[in-house]
Amino acid sequence: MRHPVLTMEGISKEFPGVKALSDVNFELYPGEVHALMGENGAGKSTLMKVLSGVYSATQGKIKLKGKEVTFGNPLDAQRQGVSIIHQEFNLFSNLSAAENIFIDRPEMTSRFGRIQWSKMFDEAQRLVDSIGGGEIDVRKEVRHLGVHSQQVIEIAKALSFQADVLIMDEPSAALPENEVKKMFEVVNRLRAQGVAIVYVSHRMKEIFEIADKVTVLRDGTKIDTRSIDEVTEQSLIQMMVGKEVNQLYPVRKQEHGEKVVLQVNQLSLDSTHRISFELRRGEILGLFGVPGSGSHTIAERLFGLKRGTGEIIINGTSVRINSPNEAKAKRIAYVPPDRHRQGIIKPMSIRQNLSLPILPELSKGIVMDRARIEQMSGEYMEKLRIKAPSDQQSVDFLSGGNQQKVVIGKWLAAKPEILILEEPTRGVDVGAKAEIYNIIHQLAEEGLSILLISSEMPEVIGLSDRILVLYKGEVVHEFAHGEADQEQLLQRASHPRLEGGTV
Amino acid sequence: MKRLLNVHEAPIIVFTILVIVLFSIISPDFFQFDNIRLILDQNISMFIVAIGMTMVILLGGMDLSVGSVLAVTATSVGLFLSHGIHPWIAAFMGIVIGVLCGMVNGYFIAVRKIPDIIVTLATMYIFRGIAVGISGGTWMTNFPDGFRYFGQGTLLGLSFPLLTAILLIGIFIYLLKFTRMGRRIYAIGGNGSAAKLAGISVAKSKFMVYVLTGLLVGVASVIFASKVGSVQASTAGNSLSFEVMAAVLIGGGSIFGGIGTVAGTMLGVLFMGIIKNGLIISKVSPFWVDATTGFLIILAIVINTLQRIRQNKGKEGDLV
Amino acid sequence: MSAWTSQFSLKSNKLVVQLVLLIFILVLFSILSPYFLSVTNFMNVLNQMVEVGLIAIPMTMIIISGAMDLSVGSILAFSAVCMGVAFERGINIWVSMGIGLLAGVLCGAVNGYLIARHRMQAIVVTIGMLVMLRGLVYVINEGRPISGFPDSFYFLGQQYIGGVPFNAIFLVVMFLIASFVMKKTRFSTYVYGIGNNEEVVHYSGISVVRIRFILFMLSGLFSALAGVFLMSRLASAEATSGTNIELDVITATLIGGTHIFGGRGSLAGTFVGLLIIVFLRNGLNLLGVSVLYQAVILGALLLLAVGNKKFNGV
Repeated sequence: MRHPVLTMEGISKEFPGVKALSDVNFELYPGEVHALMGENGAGKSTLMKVLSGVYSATQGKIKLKGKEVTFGNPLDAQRQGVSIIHQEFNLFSNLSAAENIFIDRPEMTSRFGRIQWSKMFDEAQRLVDSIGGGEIDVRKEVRHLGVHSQQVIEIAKALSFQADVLIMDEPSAALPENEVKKMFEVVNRLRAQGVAIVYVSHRMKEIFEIADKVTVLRDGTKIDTRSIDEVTEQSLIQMMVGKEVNQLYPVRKQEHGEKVVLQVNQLSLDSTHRISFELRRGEILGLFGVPGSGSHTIAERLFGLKRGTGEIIINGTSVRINSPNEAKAKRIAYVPPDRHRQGIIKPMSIRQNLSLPILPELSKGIVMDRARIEQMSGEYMEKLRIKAPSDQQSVDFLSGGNQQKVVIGKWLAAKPEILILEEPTRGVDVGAKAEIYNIIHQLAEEGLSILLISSEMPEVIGLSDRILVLYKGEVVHEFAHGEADQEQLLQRASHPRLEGGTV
Repeated sequence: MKRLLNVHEAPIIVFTILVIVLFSIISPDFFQFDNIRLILDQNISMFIVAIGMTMVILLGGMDLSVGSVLAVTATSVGLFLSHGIHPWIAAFMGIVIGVLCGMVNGYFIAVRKIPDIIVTLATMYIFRGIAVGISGGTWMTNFPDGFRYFGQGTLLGLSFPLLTAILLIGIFIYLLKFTRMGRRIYAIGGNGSAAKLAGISVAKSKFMVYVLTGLLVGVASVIFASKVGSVQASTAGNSLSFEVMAAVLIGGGSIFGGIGTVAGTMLGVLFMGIIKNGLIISKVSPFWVDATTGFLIILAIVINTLQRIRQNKGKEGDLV
Repeated sequence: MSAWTSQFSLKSNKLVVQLVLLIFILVLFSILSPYFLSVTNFMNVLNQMVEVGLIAIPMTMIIISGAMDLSVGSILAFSAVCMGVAFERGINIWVSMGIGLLAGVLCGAVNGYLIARHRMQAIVVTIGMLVMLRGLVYVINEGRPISGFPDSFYFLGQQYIGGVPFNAIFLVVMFLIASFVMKKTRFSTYVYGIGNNEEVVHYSGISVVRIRFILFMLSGLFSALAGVFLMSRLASAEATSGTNIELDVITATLIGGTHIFGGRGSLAGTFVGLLIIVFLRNGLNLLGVSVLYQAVILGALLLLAVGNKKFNGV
């Protein structure tokens, strides 16, 4: 009987007000690729952060090769043999590949403290070769290397610490299709060398291709660990999704209008991908895709944050949108995915945040019209049920849900015709979620056309009149209202080249 | 040939050759052995100070105070000499004072975490004021003969200050290329958070760099005082900080840190020295020289920004 | 008014530390120097603080927006010399003044173009301008002072109205206008917004480039204005005018509670900071402390203000 290289027992992690993980057990054996799956917010990334020393668990213990360990920080974990490769690489783009692998390592210096470059280059090349990166010149600076090569460097860095456990977080998200194959070869070599790999991914197809085992998390608890032979896509999806929660979503009373408000023709997302779709009056169009699908880029293009080619037609007139300013003038509003960075100015008051996009309309000349600002902010505080003692309060002190309502409110105040919502309920508690869904619903009833971009399947399904499934910059499927369930949606989004219509 | 163009310092080498050709055409006096020696000789202090500034900028920092540190150390050396202290001991104590100034900067920047621009702006005035204070506002002159050696002496038939500069350049090229300390500077400037993840102490490295810069300025000031033969505390090294920063940027250093080499900076200093010398030899009004320096600083930041745009270009097409 | 200011928590710093420091300085120098506490001296101080004060207005806005302008002293000299040279060529003094102001705005526009439009580092760009413009000043007037302006021009810097210097009245009016702008116009919301979170302002469909551009133009304009007043007060334009003035300006701003990383600060605070600095300098002058020692004290004060949280009204 083999012994597990790593055991996590009864891991719980609490953040103020949220229990992200409760009593999770996890075992990992040498030479296995262990997929970790779950919906957004299921607790995957928290678990991996506990394992890699970013967070310390509130409860539970971690055993590495039978010995109980604690990781003070990621470097500590790395030295003890647990390395993580994040979606965003931690590389020094100004340094050579070899140096990235061996930065600040005493073993690369001679007795007199002189860095032995040739030794470093040789060792690095050997490491990189051992995982099939033979074409990489480790003397080259990392900024000149492609994404796949950078990933190989990250893996080599982990191996240079004699990694027993390697965590890969969405390793294929940043890779083009042909390079995913190369990455698999690397993973296969690692497996042959006896490294235990935790493979975090949304992409069903990859899991069946590469993993030996799969563990599914849901709502911070472990659902099950199975061998990959024992599961099918369908059963996996069922494990991840659980029972559907529909009561959160209001029922649509009337059909949306027929008039096409927004038409997008051959809108470029990058140098090769172009996309076309239309949005009707009062319609909620859901865009769903796993990371790397291009849905965020669509929002950026429509809101003028990114430039490119293609045609945007609003109410029958072709328009140019080169800046958020111009988008605003064309009555397009955008609730961005990261409200802390792009949505709210935290030290400023609710009133100031709400009025920010429409200050010119709320001014007499250059002087702000206090009465109108007050009235407007009161109106939207009430309409969106923003809970705060006064609109003079700084938004920093609001709950996530109320902050999000401020972001929505500031754009509603601009009276848009087209509202792009991206991750409208990220980091928001369930009660506020339901409220936000009601608001979205009501807005659509009032005739606002909404583009809903979200990685949360239930909300896309529950709210959308129509869903476009995106995969790497292409629309791979369209679901009409009521047609999609989570299983089908996930199937389409993660395994696009499926023949036939049903699962 | 292509490999040659890929060398990081290629643009500055090309520019330097261009201005050399230009000035040689304008004035026959320019491309003479004596004039070239004069250019090197006049810029010795700048070469040495620029080594320190290279490290500061590699960290992504900035040091406006080096000119004032030069004034303080040069004045103190003058003061020690006038009290009859042996030239070698006076020089050594001057360098120690440079190190102390560096420690003051380093303390506020690395330990108290006050932005480098504010700290060095403040110490720029503080050190300058102290320099004028201890000099009593008069010229320091009449250095003893023994002191003249640092700026004008020869060793094995070569100029002593030039040898010192070459030695220091060699040491710091080695330090930056072959020691962990040097590589940490590059790592911090390239990606601060990744450096922390790799267990590098950012504060320690920063402190060290400012101290070393103080040391180098100390050495430069001894040579400066000896070469000029007098020190006026209120003007010594007045625009040195700005010129040296320009030299680093022109020499291929990135204002955002992580990119740059001592060799490139030395070419940058040479480039600026040649332009100044060439303008004077071409009988252009000396007032144009300062204006040109400022223009070169702006040019350097423009080039820097263009390089950054070029580097980021490939990354924009990602689907997210 | 009070309700309005309480809305802007970012602006209503409690200036307790600053006011205590100001009173301390006033009391200290009253004791140390018999000449300090007199109307004549105070009016003198007011007369001399105008240049620093004028530049501190846009500097406060720029630092609130999260940037910095080190070229102000050189812009001051450049526009003063432009004006002086224009006057020497026989152009009417007031038209010359317009030329000087225009020169300042142009310098600010260059800063703004490079910093706002091309996102270059404000510090390096303005250092470049600092060195370059100072050089150009020497090129234009070859280092000699320009004087001999008509008497009517000296009104700006030397006339007293009801015992109060005209230029101080002008400064106070400017501060009041700027304070109004930074409290009641949407421009202020944008400036504070950019200082706190530039991305949100951009994502709200507001042109950050334009706001930054305006700020640097204002800085150029006010630096030029300071140059005009300095020329009028001293009756000459010199190549060294305004050297090191940025230390006083930035120190006044930061002592006044404006946050070095932007987002917080007020013109009221800057005004108190300004008073602290001018009275400190005046007192030290009366005690016979040399200008360069004053720089030491100011530099130390600057480090203290940035390093000490109490000054930020937190």
